[in-house]
Amino acid sequence: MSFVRNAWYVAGWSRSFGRDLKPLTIMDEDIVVYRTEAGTAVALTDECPHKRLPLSRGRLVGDAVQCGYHGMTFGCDGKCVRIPGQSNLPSSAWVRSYPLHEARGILWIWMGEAAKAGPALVFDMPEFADPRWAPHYGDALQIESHYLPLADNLCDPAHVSFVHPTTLGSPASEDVPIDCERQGRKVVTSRWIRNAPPVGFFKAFGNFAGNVDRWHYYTLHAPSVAVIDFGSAATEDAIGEGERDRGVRLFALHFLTPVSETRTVDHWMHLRNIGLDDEGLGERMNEQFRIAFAEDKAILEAIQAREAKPPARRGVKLAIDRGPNHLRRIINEMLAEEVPDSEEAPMQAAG
Amino acid sequence: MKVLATDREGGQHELSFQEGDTLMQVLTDEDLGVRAECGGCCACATCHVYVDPAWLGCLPPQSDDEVAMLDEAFEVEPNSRLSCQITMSPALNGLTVTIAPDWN
Repeated sequence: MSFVRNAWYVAGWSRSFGRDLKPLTIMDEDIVVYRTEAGTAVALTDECPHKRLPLSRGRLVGDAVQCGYHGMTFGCDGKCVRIPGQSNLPSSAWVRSYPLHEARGILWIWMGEAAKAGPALVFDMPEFADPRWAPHYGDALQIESHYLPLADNLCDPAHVSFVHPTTLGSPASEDVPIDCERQGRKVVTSRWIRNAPPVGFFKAFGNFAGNVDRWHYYTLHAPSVAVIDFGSAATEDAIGEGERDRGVRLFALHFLTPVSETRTVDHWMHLRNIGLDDEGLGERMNEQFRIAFAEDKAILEAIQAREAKPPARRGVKLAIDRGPNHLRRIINEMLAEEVPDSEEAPMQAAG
Repeated sequence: MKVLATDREGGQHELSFQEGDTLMQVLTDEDLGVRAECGGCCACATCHVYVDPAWLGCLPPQSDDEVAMLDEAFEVEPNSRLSCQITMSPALNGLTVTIAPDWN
């Protein structure tokens, strides 16, 4: 199974990178990330082209990386700037430099053709800059699973009733049908659960006296960004679909970064429309989200463990699979578009 | 109003329908082995039938979803359709179909 390369993936939270050499693996490629003296992030192949020592075992010399074995030194663009003991810098002395984009406290990396990387393709949403919303950052959750089952999970509101009974779901939603729509390269799955007791999360943070109307809108931006608009409002307020701001509303953002065929990092964070000045609120909410996402992790890892054995029979396809079906089709379209690219030399000297 | 269906053993069945039923509902009302796993929302391709070519032109056109779902089915022929996507009407009185093979 291959990965969609021409897309921005999250390398990490901005706060994770500094004047040290941080190794990462994305799509089985070893990458070293650091910041220049001016603070600009740089990502290079984490392997010296001489003897293959990870460059992250070396050190920063100004804005360049010096290999810890023989001192070969590479600039931010990946070109070799020094080979101790010889004056000749051969054209083959380079490492790949990956396009990066940093915004909203997030460092994004482009794994595909550099010429196709553009900041306009970076995921963003207006709520980041809206004073009625407060972001709170979460974790980088490592899951021992291919990213696609996790992406399926993020266009699948049906699992919430069963996987997250104490936090985000409840039996009230078990039999509520799910709407599903493909919008270009996005899949939107949604449902409303009307007039039911608040689920654990909204009991804790919603201050509701009676029953609530609860919504979930999962938007999966293929291949790997999920935005879950969820919230609750008092049933007696009878809010309409377009009035969700009147309730307690959150956006859960999940940025999936494939590490390998069997490992994914899910960088998750939230935007909320309540308690904007309550500095501890985000962390108190995160405690509940950590419970919920550990539940997803356990499910996905158990499924991944089964991948080692061929299935004995074709899986049963249910009505709730429309969202994941759409997602897989979009991913296949994106992969098909990349086929011609894979025949070109994938790595060329920067500059 | 009737549909004429041939099952996987070659048995012939005359099935009554009401306007507005889907063909899938008509077929699953009898025990003809149509799985219809997803219940009729075009998510599984297990209500696959072959439509008598003489009737093909009378059917509603295929949606993108149906085309994509049939792409994942087995033994697909030019006259393959997903029966959940065919809504019955008086114009389809006498529609003749064959249930496509099952698979494991």
